[in-house]
Amino acid sequence: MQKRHVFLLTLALAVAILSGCAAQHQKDQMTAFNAAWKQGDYTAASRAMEAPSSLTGQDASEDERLLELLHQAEAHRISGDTETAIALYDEAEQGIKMNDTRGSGAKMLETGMAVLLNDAHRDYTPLLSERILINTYKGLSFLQQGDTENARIEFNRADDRTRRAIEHFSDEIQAQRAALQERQEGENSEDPRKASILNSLKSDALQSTVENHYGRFSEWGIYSEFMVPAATYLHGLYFLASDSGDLERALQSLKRVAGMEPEHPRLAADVRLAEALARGSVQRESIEPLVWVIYENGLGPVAREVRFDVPLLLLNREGDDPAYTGIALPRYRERTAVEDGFRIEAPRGEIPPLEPFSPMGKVIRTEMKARFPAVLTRAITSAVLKTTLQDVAAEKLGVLGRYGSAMLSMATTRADLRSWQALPDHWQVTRMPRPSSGQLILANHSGTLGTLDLPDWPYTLVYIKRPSTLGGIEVDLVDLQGRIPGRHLSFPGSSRAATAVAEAHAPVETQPR
Amino acid sequence: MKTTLLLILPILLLAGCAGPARYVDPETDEGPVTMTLDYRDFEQAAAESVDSLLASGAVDNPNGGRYVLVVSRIINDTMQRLDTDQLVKRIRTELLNSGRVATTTAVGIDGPEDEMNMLARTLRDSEEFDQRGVERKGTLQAPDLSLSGKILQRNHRVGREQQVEYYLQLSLTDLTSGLAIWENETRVIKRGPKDSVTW
Repeated sequence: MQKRHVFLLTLALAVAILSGCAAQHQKDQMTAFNAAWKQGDYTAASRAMEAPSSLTGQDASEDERLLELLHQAEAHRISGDTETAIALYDEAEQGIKMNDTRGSGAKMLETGMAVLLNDAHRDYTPLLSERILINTYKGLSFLQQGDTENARIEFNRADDRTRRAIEHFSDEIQAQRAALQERQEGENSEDPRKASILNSLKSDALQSTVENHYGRFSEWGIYSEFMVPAATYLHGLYFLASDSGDLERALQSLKRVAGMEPEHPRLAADVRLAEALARGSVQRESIEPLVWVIYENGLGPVAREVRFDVPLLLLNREGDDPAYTGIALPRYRERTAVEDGFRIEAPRGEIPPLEPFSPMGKVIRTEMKARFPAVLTRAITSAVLKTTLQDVAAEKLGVLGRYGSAMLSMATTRADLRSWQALPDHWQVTRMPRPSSGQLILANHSGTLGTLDLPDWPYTLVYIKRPSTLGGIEVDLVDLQGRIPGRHLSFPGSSRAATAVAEAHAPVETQPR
Repeated sequence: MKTTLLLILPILLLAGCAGPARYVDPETDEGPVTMTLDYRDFEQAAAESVDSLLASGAVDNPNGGRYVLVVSRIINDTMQRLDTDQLVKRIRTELLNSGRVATTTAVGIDGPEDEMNMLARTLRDSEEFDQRGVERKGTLQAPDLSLSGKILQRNHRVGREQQVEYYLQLSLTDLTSGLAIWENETRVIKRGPKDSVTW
């Protein structure tokens, strides 16, 4: 009997070590990605996220390498390789579908593993905001290729994912109410483990400990309704530019975004334009060519681990023997935006400055607030089970069992810190009539960074992405009507570099494919 | 031996779950319904549209003979990558078979469907070709009617399921007057699990 327990403990320790190795590999992979991403070396960033092969030497299935696919796809898109980006994003969507439609047995097994070990053992499940952005980026990529038909499909998908997300949050609120009801009845549960979990969850001590380490939810700045404003805005712009009778949809999306960002002058101006077109008070033919500049700025939030001991109310526990009762939760921390006075100028005349909107931190906080009760419940369930296992191990194996199992609990208590780290800190936007010179100047505090020659399209989108000052400025010139393939341009990120490079080369230009 | 059998049995059972490759009769196919549009939906939508069009009399030429139809833009406003040509082809085929309409392949919204129409005419000055067989000027037929449309998709949640609604909207325009002389909407409605997206 003793031998069997020692074997089980050794096996559990081996699992913990292996799980630690996998987590370390993932951490190293993300560090390498971020280092390359910040430097603007997108080839290296994509290479850093190559998924390891499965044990049989085959490529892992799409759901198993979802996180890698997302990072690689965006690394290709930002560098102008839209064809590869679309193919990788398609695979990522396939992976999400496999995840969503997995059988209930597999789902239960995965939840069981998450409770016994930690959430990081579940296949990566993208945030709802990340899912929406997959289709938005694909929509932009198709527009860049001059493929309006497929762009429309992707913007429709992004819109449907937003609808599903809103419904999902409504479900979450209902589930939380049901859970609250269950907690109130928890004391009466006949299963001591279940009663321990429910009592712990409803205890004031736990709530206060969580708030001390995690912050008060009421102080989180969140949106009143879930959406990714940048994605809904691009949906609105696409249908605004479309001449296939889609103005009502454009207006609906633009109004929703403006409603979320009520003080934003550019978003309000777009609503006025869409309203005038939809009413017929302005004719499309009478509008001068328009240029929108959307600037994806900086590095989006990443999850950091918050680890702390929680007071568990355990029934049937004898004595006050020490036990590890910690939980680890993911907490999103904002990274940096590029703050170098980046602006858009016209050679003659003034253009409205870029105005920020759609901060990813706020989008993720909105989502996490709804997700948090489920994350906390899993963490507490896991802590209760691990404490019970520690007691059993101590009873069977004495001091060795007590400390061995406590170490095991500590080693396997980890927060799921995976997230798509190619997203920006926030977006900025401005709109202007196409300058008479046909040019826009990119500039910052230190001077001119580059000049854009604008195509003569009725609705032009200048889509800029710039993760950091160390890398370059990646610019896509996009025909919002998707009739003509766009152009991809790269500019150095500082004016000194711009001068040096301008002397040697013209801006790097990727031919549309 | 017993252990070996116990190990092999589940594998055999699992292998038995996947059916072998086989032909499916489209007329009697009762295979699983997907939330996406499949060939059965295309066939149903095409058949209903053609029946409506022929019954309306919009393609009956009072002067006798056949109208010349051109297929204009069919916008795919769904969430799926569909080949709208596949749907339109069935409609065209059935209209052609009705004997009341001929479709031109010489003009199209994105250029002629069959580029040979113009290419064959570039042979006019070639000494290599017997000029008696080369098409003369002014022989291509201009279209009388234009068929345009949109395929829409709307998703809703219905209780614990999701409902996906597809609408095939078609319009037939008389190119002489610019008036729509026939319009029709065919619906395909499906209800199923809401676990995942419908594409």
